This record gives sequence, C-alpha cells and structure tokens, in this order.
Amino acid sequence: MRIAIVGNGRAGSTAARVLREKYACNVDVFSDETRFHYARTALMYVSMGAVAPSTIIAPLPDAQLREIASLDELRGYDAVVLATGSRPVLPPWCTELDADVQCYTAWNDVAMLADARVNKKRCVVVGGGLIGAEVAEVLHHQSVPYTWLIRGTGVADDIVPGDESAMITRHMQQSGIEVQVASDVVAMVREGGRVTGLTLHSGETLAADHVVLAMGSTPSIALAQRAGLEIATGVVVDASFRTSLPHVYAIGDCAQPPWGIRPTWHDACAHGEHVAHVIAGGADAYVPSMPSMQATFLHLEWYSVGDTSSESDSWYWRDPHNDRSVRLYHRNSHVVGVQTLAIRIAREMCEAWIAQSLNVDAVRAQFADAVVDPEFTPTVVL
Amino acid sequence: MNLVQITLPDATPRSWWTLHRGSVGAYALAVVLTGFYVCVFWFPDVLQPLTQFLDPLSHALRRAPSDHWFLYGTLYTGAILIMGVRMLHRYRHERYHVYRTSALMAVQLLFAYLLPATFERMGHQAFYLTYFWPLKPEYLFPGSIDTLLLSPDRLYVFVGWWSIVCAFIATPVLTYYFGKRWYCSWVCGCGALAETAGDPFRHLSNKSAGAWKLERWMIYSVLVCIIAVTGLLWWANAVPSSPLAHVAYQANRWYGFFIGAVFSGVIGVGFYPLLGSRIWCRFGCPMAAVLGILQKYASRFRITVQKDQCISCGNCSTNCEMGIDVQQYAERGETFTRASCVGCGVCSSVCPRGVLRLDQR
Ligand SMILES: Cc1cc2nc3c(=O)[nH]c(=O)nc-3n(C[C@H](O)[C@H](O)[C@H](O)COP(=O)(O)OP(=O)(O)OC[C@H]3O[C@@H](n4cnc5c(N)ncnc54)[C@H](O)[C@@H]3O)c2cc1C
Ligand code: SF4
Repeated sequence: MRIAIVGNGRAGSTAARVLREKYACNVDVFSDETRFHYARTALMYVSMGAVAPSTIIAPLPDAQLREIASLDELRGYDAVVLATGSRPVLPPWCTELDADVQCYTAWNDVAMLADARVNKKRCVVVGGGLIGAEVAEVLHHQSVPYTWLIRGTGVADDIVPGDESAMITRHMQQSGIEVQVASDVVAMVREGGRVTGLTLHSGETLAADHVVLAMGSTPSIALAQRAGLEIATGVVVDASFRTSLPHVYAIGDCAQPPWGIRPTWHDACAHGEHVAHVIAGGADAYVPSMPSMQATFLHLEWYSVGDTSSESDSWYWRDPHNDRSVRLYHRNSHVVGVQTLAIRIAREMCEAWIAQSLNVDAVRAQFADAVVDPEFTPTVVL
Repeated sequence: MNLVQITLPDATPRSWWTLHRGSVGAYALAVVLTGFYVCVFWFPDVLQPLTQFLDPLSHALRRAPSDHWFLYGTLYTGAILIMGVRMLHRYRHERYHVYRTSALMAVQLLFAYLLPATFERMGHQAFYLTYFWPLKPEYLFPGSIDTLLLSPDRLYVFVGWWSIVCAFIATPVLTYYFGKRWYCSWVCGCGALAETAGDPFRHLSNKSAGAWKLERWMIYSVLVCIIAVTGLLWWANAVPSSPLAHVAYQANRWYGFFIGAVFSGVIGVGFYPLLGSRIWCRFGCPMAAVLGILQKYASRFRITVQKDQCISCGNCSTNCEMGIDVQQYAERGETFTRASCVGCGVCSSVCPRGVLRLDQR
C-alpha cells in the first residue's frame, strides 16, 4: 500500500511509524516545516537550554520538505492522511509575520526568539494563554527585557476560573514575571519597516522591537478547503477519521471528529496510531478517552480531567496554607470534571469517579486516594 | 537527515556553571579535578601549602597535625555543604529535595567528618559509621574480628557489630521498604557529593543502550571482585600456610589501587565534567550493585508513570544522572524499576506534566 501523509507533527509521524513498522506500508511523509519530527510541546525547554535540540528530535520518520498545495499532487496514493495540525491565530492589527513579529509554535520560532535575545530587542508578548505563559517564562529565564500583555484579568483566564487564574498570575508575579493585565492591543506601530511599538486600547503606546503573538490557534485547513472537503472549524471526520472524500483521512489538531476538536499531544498521538489501524488493519471507530489537560506555570502545575467547562456548577476548595486548589465540576451534584492546581492527581481514578457519576461528597471523601504528589507534600484534606 | 535546517544558537545554559558536553571548560575542569585526586593519592607533597593552611582546624578537631587526607575530607565536606545550599535553593519548591539534601549534608558533616575526627581526637582510629561492606570492605575483612569484635574496647566492638548489622540486616530491610535511595540519595557520601557538587553535571551522563549494557557488566564485575577478595582473605586467614594467602593479599592491594583509588576517586569524581556526576555509583560501586539487585527483585520501590500525559520533552532523561532513559518509559506509560535508579527524584520534579512519581506504596 502506498500512503501519503501531509504533516509530520505528532499525529502524522505516529501514523507513519505504525504504518511502516506494523503494516510494512510504503509511506511518504510531507512537511513544509522540518524534515524531522520533533516535540512541538518542548520548544520552550530548548529555548531555555534545559534540553538539547537533539533531545526533542525523533530521527524517524524522515519527511520530504515540501508544501502540499493541492491533493492533486498526491494522485497515485492508495490513501492520503491530512495531519496538517493547527496554525496560530493572527490579530486584525497584524496579519503578516516578519523579522520583528513572530509566533511561538514552530521550529524556526525558537531561533527567532533567540535572535531577539542576542540582538537585545525589547520584546512584547501578546496573549495570556498557555503559549503566552511559556514565552514569558522563557524570556524571564533568559533575562530578556519584555512586557507581557494579557487582555483579560489574569493568566489563562480563558481556560481556568477566576480564582485559579488569580493564583497562577500571583505565582508568576511573585517569581518576578511581570504581567500587564487588561491590556488590549489595537494597533502596531511601524517606522521604516521596523516595529517600534504597540498601541493599547487605553491609547497608550508601548515601545517594542520584537512582538511575540500568542493569541490561540486554529486548525490548518487550507489544503482541505482547496480539495473541497467538508469543513466546520476543522476538517470534519467520522469516528474512524474518514473525511468526506474516500481514501482521505484527517487526524490530529486539524481534524474535527464527532466528539470535537481536541488539540493535544496525546490526542494527536492516539489519532495517528488509530488511523494506521483503520487504513491498513481495517480497524473500527476510535473510542476517545476522557478529555484531560496538564500544564505548568513556572512551578505551579495544573491538571484537568473530564468536563471542566464553565457551563457546569463547581465545588471549590482552596488550601488556606498553600497555593493550591481543587475544583470539582458537577451537574446535579454528579461529578463530571476534576481540576486541580499544584496537586497531582491520578487521572485514571478521576476518570473512574466521573464514569460512575459519583456525587461531590463521595469524591471529596476519596479524594486523598487520588493524590499522587511527591513524598512529604502536605496531605490534601477536602 | 538534515537535522538542523536553521542554525539554532547555542542552547543557553540553565545556569552559568552548567557545562556543555565536550566543551573546553569541561575538559579543563576535568583535568583540574583529576589532577587533585592524583596528588591526594600519590603526590601529597604537592598539596603541602594547602595542608598546612588547615593545620589549626586539624588541631582543633583532631588534636593532630593536618595531613592530605584531612585536607581531602575538609574540601569534600565543604563542597557538599556549599553546593548543598545551592541544591536546596534550586529545589526549594519541593520538600523531598529539601529533606533529602539536608540529610545528605548533615550525614556528611556529622558522620563522615566531625565524628571520625572526634574518634581520632580520642586516640582511636577514624571510623566511618555510614559506610559498610562492600563499599568499605575492610570492616568485614578477617582482621576486623580481632581489631573490632574481640577488642577490649566497647567502642570497637560496637563498630564491628554495627557494620555487620548494617550490611546484612539493615540494608535488605530498608531497601525493601524504600528502595536503594535510602542509602544512595540520603546517606552515602559519594552520593552526597554527586547530589550537591555534581548537580550541575547530571545531564552529562550517557543515556544510550550501550552505556546501560556497559554499566551492568562493570558494576557486577566489581561486585564479583570484592566478594572474591573478601573470600580469599578469609581463606588466607583460615589456612595461613596456603599459597593462596599471598594471592589474597595481592588481590586486596590491587583492588584498593584500581577500584578504591583510581576508579572511585580519580575517575569517579575527576570525570564529573565529562561523564556526569554518578560515574562511580553507576559503573563501579559494589554497594550500589547489591542495593540494585535488592531494589529490582526485593523492594516495593518503583517509579509510577501516569499514562498518556508525557509530552516527550526530554527533561527527565536529560536530568537523570544514572543515564536512565526515563522518557522511553514515560511515553509508553510504563511503570518501572531500574536497578541503577538512586531515587534522587529529580526526574519527577523537572517533569512539567506530573508524569513520574517515586513510589513505595
Ligand atoms: C508551544 C506549544 C506548546 C504545546 N504544549 C502542549 C502541551 O503541553 N500538551 C499538549 O497536549 N499539547 C500541547 N501543544 C499542542 C500540541 O503540540 C499539538 O496538539 C500537537 O502537536 C498536534 O499535532 P499534529 O500532528 O496534529 O499537528 P502539528 O504538530 O501542528 O503538525 C502539523 C505539521 O504539518 C505541517 N503542514 C501543514 N500544512 C502542510 C502542507 N500543506 N504541506 C506540508 N506540510 C504541512 C505543519 O508545518 C506542521 O509541521 C502545544 C503546542 C505548542 C505550539
Ligand atoms: S519530563 Fe515528563 S513530559 Fe517530559 S519526557 Fe519526561 S515524562 Fe515526558
């Protein structure tokens, strides 16, 4: 079988590996980014010098460096897998990137940020989500002068409730990271082709030589659109990752399966593996795991399992002595999601509670069993 | 494969003392450290000025003139204390490291520096109560029966029994409950140096499968050697007229030279900047070999891995001083026990997604 895979991120490269190793398929991988697959999630650790670049690079599969502009280029393949991932969202006041404006989602971005440091540029990070926080941490760690602008009231306030966001923001500030909240950028100032500043909603203009945009991401669908595939936000696929065209599949960040888009490393990996079984092994529908997310803000770890959207009610506990918290999301008092700050939780146990629809009191009573903090951490008593 | 399409600027070190693998600085530091060890073992006269400088301290502590071993012990303890403070600061957010590093510093200062000095001050031999057979094999050599167990002095009898109980009873029991770490990361002086002064070098350990294989060959060979040497000495003691007696004494001398001095000292510490901080613990220490076998087959200790949470960032493997490729287990979601794991807990702390936990439950 000859199979073409567009994109060598986590999804595409996992699919290629399984198809080659398990099914001995003839696989061609195309990427417009890098020949090698690498851990996109670990870019910040390369920027900080915590790990060597070679550490996050997987030697195989080796992709052909080429942008696929149309599916016509892939005629002759028995199956085509779109694993084009996501691309950063750009604001209306800056629709193109150049030497002074970058995002932080791709391999080249690490070098750009390092250049900004070497050239002592004054950096401004725009966006208070997970990637904005990562960039701020990198710049802080590297002693680059920077300003970090957040539109809302605190760090990550679009994914965690206000109290947790405030705790994260305070934690980062206490460690020396400056956060400027309620700062909506409305325009970018350029002089002689170079960026010189950003104008805020308030009318104030901030000096800036280098701007890092971290304003979210959206599925990369240009290729699918041109091919006439059915599109919603992402490329619409069924539970086996089939698109509206026969023999064309979509996986990872760019795919929109019936359970919704879940742009995470683990989902991309699971999609890649499953689509290989579908294409070459005749596997059936994929059964998605319960959603879960983890992140770290400097030393503050954040864990979320199940449905932790703001639509549900929640029961909240905050440790009076330490910066840590637990939030149990529930509907009619049946727990549907668990979210913690600075408390490591055994995900499988949380999933079991949610699957059994335990009520809040029952979960509170057993909560300590699910805590997997390092030894000597003060115990959690809910 | 075109690994670097764009030129990445040199990854900026985590801190100014972090050395790059194979850099000029790393070699220079290795030469200095190795040179110091060579002097201590074979050319102590070179160190005379330094030794003399410590004379007042030596008199105060031991009522004896300073010598090169006192100089060595003082520098060793000083390195642990100073770099221990750095370690405490670096991992101040996690109690495990705060407690563990404090324990290492206290054990070194009290049991490996002040207490031996006090023994000397009282006119005794300098006993080290935190080293047992096979790391400190002398305590179980036949001579120790006469000098320790049958001594009229109660202190010597105590030391004799203490080392026997620690080697044969405490070691398996503690390792069953806590894993190898109770010794390697909480008590041992070699471990203390590696965990404090060696911390900036931890990322230099080789993570390849080849290194793992070499490690197993070497460490178990050293264990076999010391068992053989001990056995021969006891045989020679039982049958003094046997021709083996001569072999036994020679074997003991060779072991002392190659393993005791060259391997554990010169290479073990001198090569920190080249091969990472636990060279001796990983490739040579017979105590670690015993503890490792116990940890692997008769212990509750393991590293539990949270499935599907690893983001393949490589922080854990990079920071493993024992060269364990932790990331591989983490990516597969596989809870594991490795004989070499000293349970320092750094992988668990540097993991940004809470994947790893040192477990003994
Ligand atoms: C800085 C950062 C940190 C992150 N941290 C986390 C985290 O901690 N945890 C987590 O779960 N997730 C994290 N994510 C998200 C995670 O990285 C993604 O969900 C995952 O990488 C998606 O994999 P993918 O294979 O679908 O797409 P991608 O990794 O985006 O790969 C798609 C590839 O396809 C290429 N491509 C696109 N179009 C074409 C074309 N037409 N022709 C050729 N090639 C093309 C792209 O250039 C890209 O290389 C992070 C993302 C970023 C950017
Ligand atoms: S440090 Fe954690 S997330 Fe990173 S590779 Fe290791 S286990 Fe995975």
